[in-house]
Amino acid sequence: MSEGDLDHIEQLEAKYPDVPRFVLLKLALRYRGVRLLAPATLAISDADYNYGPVQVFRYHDEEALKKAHPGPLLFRDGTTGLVAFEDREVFEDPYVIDHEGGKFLLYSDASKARLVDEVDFTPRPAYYGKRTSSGKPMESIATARAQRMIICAYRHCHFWDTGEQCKYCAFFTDLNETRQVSEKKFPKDVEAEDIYETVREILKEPGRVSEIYMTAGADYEGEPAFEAEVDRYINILQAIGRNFKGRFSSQLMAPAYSKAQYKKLYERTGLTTVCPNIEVWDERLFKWICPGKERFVGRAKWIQNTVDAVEVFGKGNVYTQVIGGVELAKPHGFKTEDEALASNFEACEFYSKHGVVFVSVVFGPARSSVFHDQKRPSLEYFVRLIRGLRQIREKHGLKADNDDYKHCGNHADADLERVD
Amino acid sequence: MPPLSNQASALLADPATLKVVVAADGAGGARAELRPSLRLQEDGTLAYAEPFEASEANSLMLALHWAGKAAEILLSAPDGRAWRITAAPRRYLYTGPLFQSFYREARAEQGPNSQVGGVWVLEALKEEDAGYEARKRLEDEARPFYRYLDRSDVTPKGARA
Repeated sequence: MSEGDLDHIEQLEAKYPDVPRFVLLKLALRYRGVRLLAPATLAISDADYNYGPVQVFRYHDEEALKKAHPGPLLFRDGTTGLVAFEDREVFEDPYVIDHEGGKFLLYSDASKARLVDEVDFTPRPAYYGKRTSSGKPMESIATARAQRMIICAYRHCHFWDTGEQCKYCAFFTDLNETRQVSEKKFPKDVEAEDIYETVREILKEPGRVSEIYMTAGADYEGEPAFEAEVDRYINILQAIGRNFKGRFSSQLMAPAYSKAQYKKLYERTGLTTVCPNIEVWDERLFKWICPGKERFVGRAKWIQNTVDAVEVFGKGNVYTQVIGGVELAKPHGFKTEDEALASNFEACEFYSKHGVVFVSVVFGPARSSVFHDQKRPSLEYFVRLIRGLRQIREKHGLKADNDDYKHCGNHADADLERVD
Repeated sequence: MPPLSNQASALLADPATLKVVVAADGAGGARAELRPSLRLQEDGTLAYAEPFEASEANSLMLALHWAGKAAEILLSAPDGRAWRITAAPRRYLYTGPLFQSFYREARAEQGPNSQVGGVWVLEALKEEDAGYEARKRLEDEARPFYRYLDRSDVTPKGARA
């Protein structure tokens, strides 16, 4: 048995009967990685599956741009897996997916000794392959998850300019040059009208999306800080809003703005939820791992702004997340998993008391991030983490609908709420 | 499981059939819901649209799926025919062609403001005639002492009220 293999999954299944096998597999695939065998790669090249290579939080080197890539993986119960494929991260003994008899089959390892289950991939949205009236490919404007449309409004994070980016981050990076993708490959700015037209197009496909999600690289220009970024989002959200009657299900993942900035966003647009991610709770580790956020906002203000946002958007409509596992990064991270869990549960308790939904993701050491060679804690650590977060949120009457399996697919703790 | 019987298939295809899906939690709780969209698919599985993602019925069905347990389906026609199917949830879809076909169907029937949380695909494990006459035959054979003595198949016409 090794960490995250099928034997280990079965052991965890017996130990934690409240965590279903599908959710354990979701964690394991993120943790252990996935290799697509040749028939699966060929099947994914099919027009029904091929999402193309552009992904917001990963690198974009020449080889990756040539390949077909699938959308989120789907387990039979609908659980989505934002799995880590071998060409994006390095794995020693990943799970493998083959394509046999018209089905994608997940196997325990390259020997295919044990069939795990039949899986599928989120179908390619109908708007992929279409162009805006200005000629832009719509899939370059917005990428789709199972029921979420992700718009990256600004493809550059200025924290990288001074080497102050979050240490786990590979936002629009270029593996060849180990820095953010050049303006020539991906223009930084995205036109609001292109976004409006892309959203309009996706609405033509029945039942395809139930949430518009926006994010971008951090842009601290303006007075007060981030004012230019807030105005950019307002402009874009107003353009998107022309498609809808009043408010529309939406989330903005961005820095923790001031209450005045949040009010402006809420009052001038149809935005419903915001997600200023704390990333790591411990004060000392936040300063080390997220130096840009510390410098341009500061941890205390980040937390206060997040809590203040609840006054604007309402209880349960403000989210924050941790990159589960970075709190144990060497050399400054916690020395034990128990200490790390205690820190995360303290954070969840604090935020929950203030009406903020606190969720987690599994840290993946992306190849072009500072933390590319960091080891992760045990898989059981993540199982304990998601169980604890679910229990704390439940105690405070909070649910993570906006970041659940249909919308994000990255938060196993939210998956557990499906039967609550 | 072999293909469903002609009786079950006919009831599933009949738009006048009431189709009830029952999911129990194993601790005394259960939820029964009318699911008129329930249909037999070409591959022999059953599928229906669950309108509400956060409904108790949906949560219970998911819990059954996670636990590898089965739900019950009751089909009832106005002419008295009734059929019971025990079926295990095998898949929950909220994207892709099957989901979209149910979504389109819901919009055609209920208008453009209708909602479909997802589509459950179930595998039938066993079936039985749940009509009154069939159930009575079984009861009479298995527990004959419960029959009222003034029933026509026990007492001749002249001796009954």
